[in-house]
Order: sequence, then structure tokens, then C-alpha cells
Amino acid sequence: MTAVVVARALSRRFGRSWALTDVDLEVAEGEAVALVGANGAGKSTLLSLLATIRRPSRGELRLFEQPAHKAQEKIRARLGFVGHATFLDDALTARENLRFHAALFCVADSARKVDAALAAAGLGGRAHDRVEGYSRGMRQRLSLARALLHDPQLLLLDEPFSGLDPRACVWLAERLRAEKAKGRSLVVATHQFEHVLPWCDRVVVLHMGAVVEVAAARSRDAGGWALRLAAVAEGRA
Amino acid sequence: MSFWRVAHAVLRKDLSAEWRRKEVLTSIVMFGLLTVVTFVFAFDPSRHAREDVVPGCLWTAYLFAGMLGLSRSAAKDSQDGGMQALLVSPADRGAIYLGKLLSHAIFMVVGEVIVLLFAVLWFDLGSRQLTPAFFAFIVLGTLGFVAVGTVFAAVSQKTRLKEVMLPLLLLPVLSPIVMAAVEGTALVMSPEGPRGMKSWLQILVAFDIVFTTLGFLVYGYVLEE
Repeated sequence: MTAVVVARALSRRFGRSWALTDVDLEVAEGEAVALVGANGAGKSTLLSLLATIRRPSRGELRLFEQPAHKAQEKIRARLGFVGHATFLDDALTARENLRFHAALFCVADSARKVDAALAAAGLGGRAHDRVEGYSRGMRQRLSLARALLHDPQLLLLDEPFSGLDPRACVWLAERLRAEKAKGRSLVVATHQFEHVLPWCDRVVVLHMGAVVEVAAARSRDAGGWALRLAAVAEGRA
Repeated sequence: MSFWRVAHAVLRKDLSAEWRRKEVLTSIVMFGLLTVVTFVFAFDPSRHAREDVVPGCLWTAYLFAGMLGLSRSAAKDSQDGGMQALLVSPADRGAIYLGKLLSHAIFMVVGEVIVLLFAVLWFDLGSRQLTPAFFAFIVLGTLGFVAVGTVFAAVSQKTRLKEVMLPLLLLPVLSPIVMAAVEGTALVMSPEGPRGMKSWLQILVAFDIVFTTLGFLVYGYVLEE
């Protein structure tokens, strides 16, 4: 199976401190990987490197079998990113936001795809409403629709469940499971294991910028992973 | 094709958002008018020659109001990851710069026209002062300002001081543009006629070309690092 992500000794420094040190990671086509760890473990930094928003200070990163910082335009066209922020403009309507992102990604037949994305996100009826009137859950659904609009091969998600109510979490988890089933690769940074364990293949545990464990997602249940993380955070692992 | 599509999308999005928010334009107009009013009170137009006061008054209003507007615009871009949204896309960074530059230029020109209308009223300016050359200096000075300002507004948002950092970065770099714009505007309004105006115009055009080209080339790097 083709590897969509190959990271070797990936490191990133901010000033004098290293946020990520010598991280090795491989993600295969159609595979879903959960990044877990305490706050400050390096999950968001790793995702920002995979999203090519930041450059690694050291190490090698290949995306879709190409050096990440050589064929950036081609690579970015195959990436979808849902970050902490929604990347949406509050003053615009849902449709206007998606049409803007369609233009940035040069999506062909954008009007039809925007309508389809809004319908898939369950926002067809609110397409003409400004995003400022949306709830957190609706914004997150729209943010996911934005990230999927250009049909990316690799979807990167940074804490996608944070701030969502249980119903919205279930909807999002089901949607992500469906995207994986379509053959998309996913890398999800999260604290909420219960939503990702049923469909993730592997869990990568990060602590203080380093990978401390890579295991099959189903090797533990949500409670087991929580205990494992607590042990890592307390330095008992 | 995709270059123009992206530039147009960025421009259209900024204009649509501003049309609804009216934050950038309000900042520019309010600060600009406040500056002109201050000059009207400080330099009574009935006792001071207009050509001595108006060029300095207008350019002080335009520059500082413009900086406020650029800061607002860049701050809005930083909220909710607006800038990151551009970064994760494969869109040409030069096209993003062009879209941003055009939107900032439109905000500035609209704000400048409103401020100028009041300046015309309060300083009793007529067709002798408001010549095509006068407007050429305003347009070229504004273009140079937004060409540099668009880049530095993005840079300042990455620093801890944000809005405070923008004038510190911008004003030293802008000094040749400011000098040429103020001197040229003063010459245009001078009762002795616009002698020597052409050289200031040439300086402005040259700096506009240099700054716009540099902005176009470095904007992507500035956004990413």
C-alpha cells in the first residue's frame, strides 16, 4: 500500500525550545491514525508540519511520495485540514465561504460541489445565513465541508471534537468513519478517544514532542488508553 | 487562469466581508476626519496658506488612518485562522498578495475620497488645487503605501506587539514614498506652479514598481515563516 505520509526524525524548534523531536511516522493510503497526548505534547505542531503550514527544523517529510517542501502546490491540493480555528469568515454566508475555498483550490464545477457539500453537512437550509449566527457544531460541520470540498486524499484534523455537544460529536465521528471508508487517509489529533477508536487503525502517543508509543487502536479500550496517557504524562511509562 | 481566479476570489471575499462589517473603512474615515479636524483647528485656514497646510494634513490623515485600517484588516484575517486558510491552500501566494493589495487599495481610496470631501469643504479647496496631478500623487502615494503595508500588516500579526509593530516596521520603509507624495502634492498646490513636480512623480512611480514587485515576491515567504 502506498504511504501518503513518511516522516523521518521530524523535528521542529520554536526559539530555543523543541516542540517536536525525531518523530517517525508513516500513514498508508486509506489508513486512519489518531495522535494522542497531553496538551503541549506536540500534536498540533506535527499536524502543522504535515499540513505544510510550517517547515520542519530538522528531519525529512515526504507526502504522497514527494518531498513536502518541494512540490508544495501539488501536495496542498491533496490535503484537507481542519484546525483549531474554523478558517471561516463570520461575515460571509456558508455558501460564500465554501465558494471562496473552492476558488483557492481551483475546484472545477464548484457551484454544484458547494451545494453537495452543504447538503452533506446538513446545512443546505442555512446556506444563505452568515456564519456568525452558527453554533459551534454547525461551524465545525461547515469547516469539515470546507476541508473536503476539493476531495483531498489526506485529511488532517486538530481536535475536531473540542467544544461539540455529544450529538455533534457522534455526527462528526460517523462522518469521519464514512470518509475513511471511502479510502481517504486521516490523521486526527484528539483527547476524545471514544469517538475515534472505533474506526482508527493506529494510535500514536506523543509526550513532550516525542513519540512514546505506536499501537493498534483496538489494543486498548478508551479507558485503557486514558490510563496509558495518564501514565505517560506522569512519567510512569 | 487560476492566478486571476484566486486574486479575484480574495478581493471579492475581502470586499464582501467589509461591506457587511464596515470595520476597516470606518477606522480609516473616522481617524482621517479626526486628523483633518485637528489640522483645521491648529492651522486656521483663514490665516494660513492652504498649500502650506493641506499636503501635510492630508498625508498625515491618509497614512495614519491607513495604518489603522491595515491593522484592522490583518487582525480580521488572523481571527478564525483566515490567514492559515490561505496557507493550507495551493493558491499562488502572488495572487493572494494581489487580491489583498487591491482590496486594501479600494478601502484606502474610498476612505481618502470621503476625507478629501471634508478637507475641500473646510480648507475651501477649488479646481486650482484639485488638478489631475494632485489626484495622480494621491493615487500613486496610496499604491506605494498599500504595496508595503499589505506585506508588513501580515508580518506584524505574527509578532507579539501586532498593531504596535506595524508603524514601527512600515514608516521607515515608506519614507521615500511619503517624502515624494507630500512634496509632490505641495508643488501641485503651490501658487508658483508645479515646477519640479515631474521628478517627484517619477520617484513615486519607481518606488511603487519596486515595492509592488518585492511584495509580490516575498508575500508567500512572509506568510509561511
